[in-house]
Amino acid sequence: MPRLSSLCSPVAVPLLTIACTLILGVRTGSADNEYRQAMAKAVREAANRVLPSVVSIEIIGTAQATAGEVEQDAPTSGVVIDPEGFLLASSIVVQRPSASILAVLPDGSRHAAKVIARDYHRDLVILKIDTDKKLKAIEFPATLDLKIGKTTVAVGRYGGDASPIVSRGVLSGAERLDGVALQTDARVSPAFYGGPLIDLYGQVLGILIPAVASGGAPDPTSWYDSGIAFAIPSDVILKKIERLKSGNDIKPGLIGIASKTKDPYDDGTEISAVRKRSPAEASGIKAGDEVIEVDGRPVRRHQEIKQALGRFDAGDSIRIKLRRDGKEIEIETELADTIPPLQPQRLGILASEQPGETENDETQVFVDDVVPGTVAEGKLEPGDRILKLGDTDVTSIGALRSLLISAEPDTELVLSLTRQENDQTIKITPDSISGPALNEVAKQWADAKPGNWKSEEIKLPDAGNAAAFLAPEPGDGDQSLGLLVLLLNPGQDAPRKIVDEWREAAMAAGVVLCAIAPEDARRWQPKELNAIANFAAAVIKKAPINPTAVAVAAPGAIAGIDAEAADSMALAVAISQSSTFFGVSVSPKTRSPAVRLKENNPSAALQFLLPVSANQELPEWSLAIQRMGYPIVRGGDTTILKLLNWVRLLQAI
Amino acid sequence: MRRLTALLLIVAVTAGSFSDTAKAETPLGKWARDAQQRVVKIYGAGGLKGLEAYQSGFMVSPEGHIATAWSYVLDVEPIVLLDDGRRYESKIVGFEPALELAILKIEVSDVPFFEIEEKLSASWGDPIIAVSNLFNIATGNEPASVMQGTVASVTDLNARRGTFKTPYRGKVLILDLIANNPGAAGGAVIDSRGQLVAMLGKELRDSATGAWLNYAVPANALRQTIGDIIAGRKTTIPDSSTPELARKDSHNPDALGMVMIPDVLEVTPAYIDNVSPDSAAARAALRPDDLILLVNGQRVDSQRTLRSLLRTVDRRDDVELTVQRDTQILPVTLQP
Repeated sequence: MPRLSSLCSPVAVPLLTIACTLILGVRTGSADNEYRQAMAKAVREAANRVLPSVVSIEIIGTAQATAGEVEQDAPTSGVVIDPEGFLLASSIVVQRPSASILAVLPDGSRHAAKVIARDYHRDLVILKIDTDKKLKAIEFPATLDLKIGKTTVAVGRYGGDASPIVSRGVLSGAERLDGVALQTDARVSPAFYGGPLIDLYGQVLGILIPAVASGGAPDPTSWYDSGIAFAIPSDVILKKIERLKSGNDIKPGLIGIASKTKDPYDDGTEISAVRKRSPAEASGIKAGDEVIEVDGRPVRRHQEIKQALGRFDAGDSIRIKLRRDGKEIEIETELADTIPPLQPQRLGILASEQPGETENDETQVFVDDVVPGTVAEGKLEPGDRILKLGDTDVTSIGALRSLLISAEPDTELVLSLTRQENDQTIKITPDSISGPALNEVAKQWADAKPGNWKSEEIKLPDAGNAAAFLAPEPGDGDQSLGLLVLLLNPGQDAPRKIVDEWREAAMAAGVVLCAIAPEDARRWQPKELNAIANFAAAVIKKAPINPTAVAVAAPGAIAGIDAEAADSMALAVAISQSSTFFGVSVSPKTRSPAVRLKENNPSAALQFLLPVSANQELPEWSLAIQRMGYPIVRGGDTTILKLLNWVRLLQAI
Repeated sequence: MRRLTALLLIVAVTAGSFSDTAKAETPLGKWARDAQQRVVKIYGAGGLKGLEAYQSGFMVSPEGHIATAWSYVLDVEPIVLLDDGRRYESKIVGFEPALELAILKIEVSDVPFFEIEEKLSASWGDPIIAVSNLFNIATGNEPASVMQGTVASVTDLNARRGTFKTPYRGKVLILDLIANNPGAAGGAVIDSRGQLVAMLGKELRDSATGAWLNYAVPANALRQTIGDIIAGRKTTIPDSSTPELARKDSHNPDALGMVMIPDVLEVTPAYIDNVSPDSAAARAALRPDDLILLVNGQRVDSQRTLRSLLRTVDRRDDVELTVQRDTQILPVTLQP
């Protein structure tokens, strides 16, 4: 260490450069060599400070079902955090049930470890071993010097003899993964997970975890050895450790607000809806409030709110500053680990927006049509201007939709509206979207005469898929059409033929159709998830499609057709590309795909249509789907026309 | 290294003169150049379908002995390209399957070479450079590619069940550097004294973690065998002076009970397809898919060689085989 710091000091630099010129010609150049040796020595000295506390963790007897390259029972590392035998490791060691977890101490002795508690938020786990051996606890500093670019060393143990292993890099970033992790460019291979990331002075910066950035890859180990690695910072670990040691799991903290903007990166922090029985509701946050600060941090977009909240756990209390009716207020709320799932509701209207009369006026929301057979029938009329839902001003269709998606089932709502220049209030109990599909479509659609519809092939520059779409010629007929993206099964390679076969129903329903064949004639591949959303975006530009009436389906959506690869792919597309798709329809026999299920988002809510009747049993995966707040619509004997009508009705509120 | 470069660059800027940039350049050049001159490129006939027919090696004697990784690239007598572009046909003078080591010889004298130390001096954290012809990027007279990094770990990968799918057993260097790529096998790992410390291994996954390994076999583990082969104490070259016996007086694969895979290629590897019951091969517990590497210490590069080597052995004598079964290297004695 002293050698290195003297090298870095300004006084030493001239000496160094002189040394370079003088000793040129010696085999390896002595100044350079000296620097490299100094670095090697510094790395070893730093690592040796923590190595007595670094252990290897082995997994014995686990099921081999790997999603990625890295084995489920890969030996990883861990650290001793307490001489009593408490260890901290990456939660990769408890990812699958195993017969035994073994800790290999620096002396090579193996000890069975039991799981004490898990931090679901930071992918860490606390283990405990019973041993008479003297254990040296690692020290987590309470304050960290996190200068980006400083030297970092990943430390672990590797191989049958649990030898030290190191990889050197720099600190690449802090507050990554929604404010949770440090980032380093050290090459972190699986053996390092659970090991410490230290600086050149042997200070523990954090504990390494397998992780990828959101949307990066399906498996958290996918980025091993890539120069992109993450660690949970020591100061945070220090705050959580006692709670974990006493056997309490930690979960991410949830608040329960929905954003008014569909894209979280858009400017604006207005809340469009507050989830029922959520911390937000309990602390008095209301739809229409604007968030100014989260725990003292100013925020300007919903993404920043997410990032600011990301560091907090369930049970943490935070202060939130809001703007309501032009006044700033501050509330305190205790975050929860769960919020009762959404049970999305619907009135049954089609709505449109018009800008306010002057620039400062709010956008106005009007009822365009009422869908027959819904609760809106007889209560709302085309031309009604909706002013308020309960206490909340209705200033956009999106906000109205969010409010209904988050509304309580079987609970009466009060709508304030203007009808023929008279203000009035209407009491209305919305209907759950879950349940039987609507049988009729809006009257204005049923009466419309379709114009001239044409099919053509479509290519995207970075996708190898064969695809075709069927849409009306520009400037012709209806607005607010639906869009169905139909995924074909491997082997079906004539998308143009399929859209032509569906032509009559598509024109009758007013739904643009886009059929896509898999790139590889044998299977759908994960890399195509994104391409499918790109096809949808490209087709939306070619016809007057309502962007909330966009669905993805597979041939199995039609009653009587078996589930195949396209059905699983359609599910994966809908879940992973949820800001593009608002509906998905597949066979009830679909095999559930390997994608991480996210909670339904009131700002871009997704619904499922399955060709099952009211008393038929739903597939097993539908339970998880419902727990995440997605409504399941029963299509019964679903025909092509019924499927397409459902697609267009996705825009109904 | 980058850190030093950056540091000196800052100094250069504050001094207000770009001429100082030159001072920021590391003398890695000399270090690398010396090593490159000792590294060679090795080309085989084409190997197996879809696999690269090239690898790396390095000089271990002034008379043109070259150490390299033993692999399918060496199916034929390989072509060797020196650092200066000179091209030689080589002879495989010896190999040790258990170390995955082969020694080639070319007819040169006074070439630069690496001496091999008796003890492993590298420890984790040490700076190294790796010189190899990875991905066959260096073609013709281009010198091999140089990469820098450090030793991440010196460890024993074999203590756990079948972790390390190679016959080599012993310490390995794990490198903090993405070093093991196609064509890199047989490349040299050099420490900051310019001393050879290890030979890059073939591409392998660690079967315990599933991750790709960046590893090298320490030079000291190869030292004894390299010395023995150079000194002629251990050679696998077929001794052409041994006369072939009459067919009826010598061994042949069928009589020993080894049914070989169909000999359809110019160089068909000596894989056993089937073992006849009650034969010498059956008694020695040979199995289908065993690959015969050596017959009485002499290298078998094809079924043709196997047959001609067996022709030199009296049918009443035992035959010593070395076979590869998966990653294991086994000595087997066939008793007629």
